[in-house]
Amino acid sequence: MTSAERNRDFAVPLSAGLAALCLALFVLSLTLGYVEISPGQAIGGLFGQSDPKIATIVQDLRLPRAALALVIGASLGLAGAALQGLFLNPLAEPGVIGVSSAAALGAVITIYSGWASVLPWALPAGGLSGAMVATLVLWLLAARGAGRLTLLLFGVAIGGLSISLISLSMNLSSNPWAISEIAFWLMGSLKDRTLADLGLAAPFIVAGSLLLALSGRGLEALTLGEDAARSLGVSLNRVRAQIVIGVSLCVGAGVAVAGTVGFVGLVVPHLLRPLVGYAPSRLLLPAALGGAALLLAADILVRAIAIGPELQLGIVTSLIGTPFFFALIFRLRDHSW
Amino acid sequence: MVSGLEFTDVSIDLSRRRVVEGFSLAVAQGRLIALVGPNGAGKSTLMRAALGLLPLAAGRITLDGTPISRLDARLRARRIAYLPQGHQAVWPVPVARIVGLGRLPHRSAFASASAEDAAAVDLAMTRADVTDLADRPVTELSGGERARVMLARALAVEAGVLLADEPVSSLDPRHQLQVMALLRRIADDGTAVVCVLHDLGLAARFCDYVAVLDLGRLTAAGPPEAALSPEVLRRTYGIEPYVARHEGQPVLLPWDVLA
Repeated sequence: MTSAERNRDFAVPLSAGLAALCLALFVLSLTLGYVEISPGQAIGGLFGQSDPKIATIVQDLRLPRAALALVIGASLGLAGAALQGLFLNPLAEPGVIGVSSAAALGAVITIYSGWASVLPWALPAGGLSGAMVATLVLWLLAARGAGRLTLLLFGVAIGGLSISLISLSMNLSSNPWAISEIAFWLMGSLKDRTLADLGLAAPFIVAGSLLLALSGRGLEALTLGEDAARSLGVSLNRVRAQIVIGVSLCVGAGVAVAGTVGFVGLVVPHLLRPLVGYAPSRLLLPAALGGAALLLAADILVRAIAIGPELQLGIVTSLIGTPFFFALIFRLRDHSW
Repeated sequence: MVSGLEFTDVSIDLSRRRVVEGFSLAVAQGRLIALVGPNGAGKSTLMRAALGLLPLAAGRITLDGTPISRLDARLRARRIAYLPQGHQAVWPVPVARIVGLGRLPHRSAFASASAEDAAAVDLAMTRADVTDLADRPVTELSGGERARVMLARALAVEAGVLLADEPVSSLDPRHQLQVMALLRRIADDGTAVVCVLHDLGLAARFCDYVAVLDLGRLTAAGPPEAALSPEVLRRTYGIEPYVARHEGQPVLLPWDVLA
């Protein structure tokens, strides 16, 4: 047996299976809502082949929701896989390096100040700015040669500060409407999103995802630690920049339109990693597809469970994700990883 | 043109403190050179500088006459292999895949492993005696097994220069001898090998040249018996060695601490 044969993993069939699952969930998502639409009608409606009324419902009301779940889920899975490879830590997640919370803070500032009610694009702009500020701080730190633990702890501190400032704004707010708006924002949802929301977020998310997808080689070398990776010709500054900027584009735009949706980046890479032989570069594509499938499924779940008001998406992903978080911490006590 | 790795009057500052001062050493192909000295003498710093990972405060380090700093990172990675101290591995990646990472500098961004890569990986695993471990997760190996896997990873680069930072520090006596004999063989096959060693006996027995570093300065250099003379060891380590010969080779043991 040669080493080429031994290195076999399931990344290709896994990706194909997950892509098929995403497609099925995407169509299922289009069929759900007040008006009953069959999968066939939904696909027809998407391409304008059905009854115009159904086509309008599918394209204007349901497509944005399904497409946002797809791109945001994919970018979160990808971001988690890339961050865990960079920080050599299975607990690293967009939320952990503080970018999600900072993006939420940026968005909350626009709600609190009232800009969000005057200018429709102020909310997403706030989310993106928050993510960019957090990223810039982390980037400056990384460029000055901070170790991965320092970087991770700094991310935790940024997240903590953002949450405190969000709480402060709610504490000081005299406007109950703003408080409930912020509270709902923090829970995360894809309800009632429009094609405009999709158009605003998707370009940033696609650009960020591309940056992340190109980091595979650097992540692979980083398995051996930072000095060995550099000795293999990998520029750590470039890998760091790619991942930190890629993550902030993905998460900033995602939080702007959907609020904070946590734990997707933690759960998906964790489940898929053994199936690709723990190779960080082989994990990227399956993690993106798995993230998309998970968020599509969770968004279908919140609509399928009819218990009074619709469950918020971020709550469902947190409920799914927290047990994984505990399990990972328990496992970390026994293993170095 | 000078072939091999050459340090000329190298000085290195870390956090504005001079840690290496005026270090010169020529590492020719086919040599196994030991870099010895007390903890904190600057040995690892010199290795990292030779990889272009640290800026020089003065002097130059050249590879076949070209300054390291002017080499493209990928090209440098193909010509200088590095085995860092500590043998870090984070994910439970199979051993064969870890060794395969040594081929990264030879592959373009999205190319998969070629037949040549596979052959290099198999040869490196055979030489480091880790073929039997090929499918094992690297995180489940013993310290000694992991050290040999990491050595195989460095060998898979098939570079002309190998820098090994304490390659035997976590190994049992049998594997220490095996690894030193392997480094000797690699050097005899034409690679320039520099290794940081704390075991003076292994340095005296296997290396053809020893550079003694103390407080950032080269204090002795030459064949083992000259560079590791009792006089040098007293001055550098404050120890009295036991010196003998066995099967025509030098035996050197740290024996007494000097007051």
